[in-house]
Amino acid sequence: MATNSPVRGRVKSGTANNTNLADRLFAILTAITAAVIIGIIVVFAVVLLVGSWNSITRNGIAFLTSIEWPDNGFDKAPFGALNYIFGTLITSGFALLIGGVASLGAAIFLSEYAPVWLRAPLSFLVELLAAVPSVVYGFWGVQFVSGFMGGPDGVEKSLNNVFGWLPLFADKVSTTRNTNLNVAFNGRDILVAGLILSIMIIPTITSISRDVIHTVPDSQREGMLAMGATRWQSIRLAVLSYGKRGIIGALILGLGRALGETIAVAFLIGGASTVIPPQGTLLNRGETIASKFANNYNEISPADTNGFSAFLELGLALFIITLIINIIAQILVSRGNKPSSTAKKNPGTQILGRLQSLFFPILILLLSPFISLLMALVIIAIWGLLRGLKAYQVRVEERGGSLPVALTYIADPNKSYGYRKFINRFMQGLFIFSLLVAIIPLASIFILVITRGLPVVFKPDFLINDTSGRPLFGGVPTGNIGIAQAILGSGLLVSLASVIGIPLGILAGVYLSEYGKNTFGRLVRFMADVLQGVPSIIMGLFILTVVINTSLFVPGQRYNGWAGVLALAIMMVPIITRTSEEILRLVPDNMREAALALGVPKWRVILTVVMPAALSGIVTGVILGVARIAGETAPILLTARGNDSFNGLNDQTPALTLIMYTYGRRPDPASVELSWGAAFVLLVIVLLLSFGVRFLTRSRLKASL
Amino acid sequence: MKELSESFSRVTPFQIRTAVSPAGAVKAFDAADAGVPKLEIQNLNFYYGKFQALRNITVKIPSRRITSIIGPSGTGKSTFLRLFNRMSDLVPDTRVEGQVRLDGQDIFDSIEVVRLRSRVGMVFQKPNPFPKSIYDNIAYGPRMHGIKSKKQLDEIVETSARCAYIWDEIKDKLHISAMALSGGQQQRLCIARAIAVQPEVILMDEPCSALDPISTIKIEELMLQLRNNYTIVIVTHNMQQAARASDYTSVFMMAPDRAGELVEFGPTKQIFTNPKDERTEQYVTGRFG
Repeated sequence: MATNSPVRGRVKSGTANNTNLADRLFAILTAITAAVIIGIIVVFAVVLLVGSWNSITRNGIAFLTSIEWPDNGFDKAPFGALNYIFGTLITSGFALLIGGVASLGAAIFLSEYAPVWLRAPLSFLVELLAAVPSVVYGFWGVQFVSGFMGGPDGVEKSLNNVFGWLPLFADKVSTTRNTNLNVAFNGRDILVAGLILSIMIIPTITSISRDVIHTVPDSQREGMLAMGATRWQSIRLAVLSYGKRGIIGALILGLGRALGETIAVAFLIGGASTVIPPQGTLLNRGETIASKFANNYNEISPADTNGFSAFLELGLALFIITLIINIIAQILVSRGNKPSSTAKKNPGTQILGRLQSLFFPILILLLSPFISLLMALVIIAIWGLLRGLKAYQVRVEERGGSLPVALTYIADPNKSYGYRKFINRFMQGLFIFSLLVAIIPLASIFILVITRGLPVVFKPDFLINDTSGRPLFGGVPTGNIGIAQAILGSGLLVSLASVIGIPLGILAGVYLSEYGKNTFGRLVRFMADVLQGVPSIIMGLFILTVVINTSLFVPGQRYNGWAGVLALAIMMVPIITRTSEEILRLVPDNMREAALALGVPKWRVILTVVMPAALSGIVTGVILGVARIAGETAPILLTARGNDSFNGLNDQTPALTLIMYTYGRRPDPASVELSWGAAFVLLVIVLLLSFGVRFLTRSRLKASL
Repeated sequence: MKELSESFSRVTPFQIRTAVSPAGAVKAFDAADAGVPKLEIQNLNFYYGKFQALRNITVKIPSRRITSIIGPSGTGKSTFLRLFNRMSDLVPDTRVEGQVRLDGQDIFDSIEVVRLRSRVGMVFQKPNPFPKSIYDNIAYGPRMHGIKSKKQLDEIVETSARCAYIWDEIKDKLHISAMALSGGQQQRLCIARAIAVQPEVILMDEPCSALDPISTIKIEELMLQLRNNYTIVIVTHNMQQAARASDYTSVFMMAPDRAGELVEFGPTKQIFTNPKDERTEQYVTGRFG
């Protein structure tokens, strides 16, 4: 029993009647659902480890250092994943740089500068950005971003013309055969993939850092402003330093999201070549670990024992990276609100302090393969000169003298009022620009999906026929292709996954909030966070492995709807669990006490008082979970893997996202048109789920309160 | 109402009772079991982890009387009160030694906790209505105890609300949210909600501390009415309230190791006019605590 009764040890001589029994049963039921989360993670880790053992022993350390990834493992060639690891790190790093700066700017603008009436709608737009499915980002990227980035007079070509002397924008790459290859300039490369990733992580980082900034007490800002600081100085010195840990945590969570992102990257990164070693140019094609799965999903076959095992090891590597990243981020975010403890000055912290002051030159040196060594040295020299000048100025002023005015302004520009005002204005402009970086892509996606997708939806039979041109529910084939089978498949997959995932998620959330103040509860909470951070493609790989190894669901049919349902259900459980828990915790304890004091058993108190009071929040969490899985492509790409027709869940099952992934990558106009139509339908469904229902429940519940 | 509040501050508790109680109440006051021990507490020790919050408390709380618990902050008054219906179970890592008997039955051993709580109701410091309609708030307890019939529920709601002196204020708006009531009304609604499950004992944990003086007087008046049918135990910081509206008073003080101890128990009049313990005298005269 999870209730802490002071009389637990004693023998209960009284009648153990059914209320007591029901209480126990309910507690056990919720505890079991919570244990399911731990069970999933354990099975998940075991499956990945056992499956990749063959590859780990066979390839050894070469797996991390070699760039050779053969098409299959039948000839027992070794597998090396260096290209994919490099691709993952460089795209995510690039995304973190661009997306991180833009998100921080947007978050600061939203919470510090924007007029109050504008804050809610702007935050809503940023949330919208989070609701757009990744396959839509990918398709939009191929159709629109690649269009103006690539080509003979695209942005990339101009970048190369202007900055070609930097390794970052070089147009030639050396190969292992000692030849130079020209970059294709087709708009499918690391730069474009990184840009799309930047946009995709903006909502994650923005919303978390906005929450962190909100926790900074107003007294901190007012204290700075009252001393004559400009707005920007008060933000930099009070807000950002106060919320530093939380903001770094938000950035790392964004990084975790970027590392695991699959589908959009698979659309845009172009695919790695085994003859091009990792190198610093952004204009070359590449591959991330996640996109490798999506681009080569046909090669993941159990018949090829070595290859399959290598893919599992690749998945394991990605899982471990995201796991570490997410744990660090969670620790930082959860402790971010507390002011950092005053550490004692010991030798260790002193060394750390020294290292911190050298952080900037070390970072620049690390970047030198991308910006050329010469430039890195120049930057470091200027940095060193400025620091030296500042130190000199301090020394002169200590003696009572002063430097010439011009030198003073260079050493410590903050002394000039005009400069401070200028920087304040400049930063404000930068923040508005950051927000635009977030909002312009959103506008572009919506305009394109509506103008290109809406006409397609009204084409004859588009919502009635399947993609092979036959009416879904029988009738004479007309030859007009449609997406009816995908809508039906998506609906079935999502609703069946919801049937499993919603009750599990809510009950586990109830356990965590009402009974989970113990070690087991903390473990479950941690595991739910881990599960939430698992890249969706790895979830698909996990289910695929389980289904293949155990002939689960439909013997002999590796790809079937049930496997997709299971993958989606597992994906939604942690989302619903954590949001339900958070909301249930908000219900004041005095409500629980009031009901308990009436002699009502705890389980009925939970069902009749606590949950109704938290209903709107729980509904929101559930809907967010459903919307999230409705837009998922990666987990069903490896499990349901649908096609042009619907043959029941025992067979391969189609879905809107899968149709978009398959046809969106083809160049012919008919496929592109079909994908725009599918994008429109998908976006309408996901947005209706994300926002429509939330508004409905919100207004209804407000009225009843 | 203004007159009432003035008279309260001047006269002794026993005069008040005859002054404000209707005749019927006076009769019920002499009911057969009145004054017989309802709750017997024997050698009670209570611990939060290693910290001892209550030490060696032995007292008998009489039936159909109002017993007030007074004393400085941090002496364990609320902890003591919350033991009687085992709300203390909700705090993890707590331990009880000794016995609390309700009508001779040990509440930790012989009575199942849910049943105990339906016999020992509670009113909290802050009014805490559920976010439901007024009707559903009062009907919540009876419904949970298995009463389904609409007619019966209507009856219970009306009787309980009348008992809690709130019926006239809510009878026309039974189906609006309880959150729309004022603080004082909410607290009387919470009392009606507690009465609706027909408990034998009502525990009140500083029920007036969040209310204005007029609502406070209404609640006190209500307590004096309820005394005819219920055993009431009330924790209060307001010594005048204890003096005005209770029959018996127990005084809690803090021992040097911060554990709460019962230093004196007796009829309210005696505690306030002729205390035996020096600390009690200092406390009730405002010189200490």
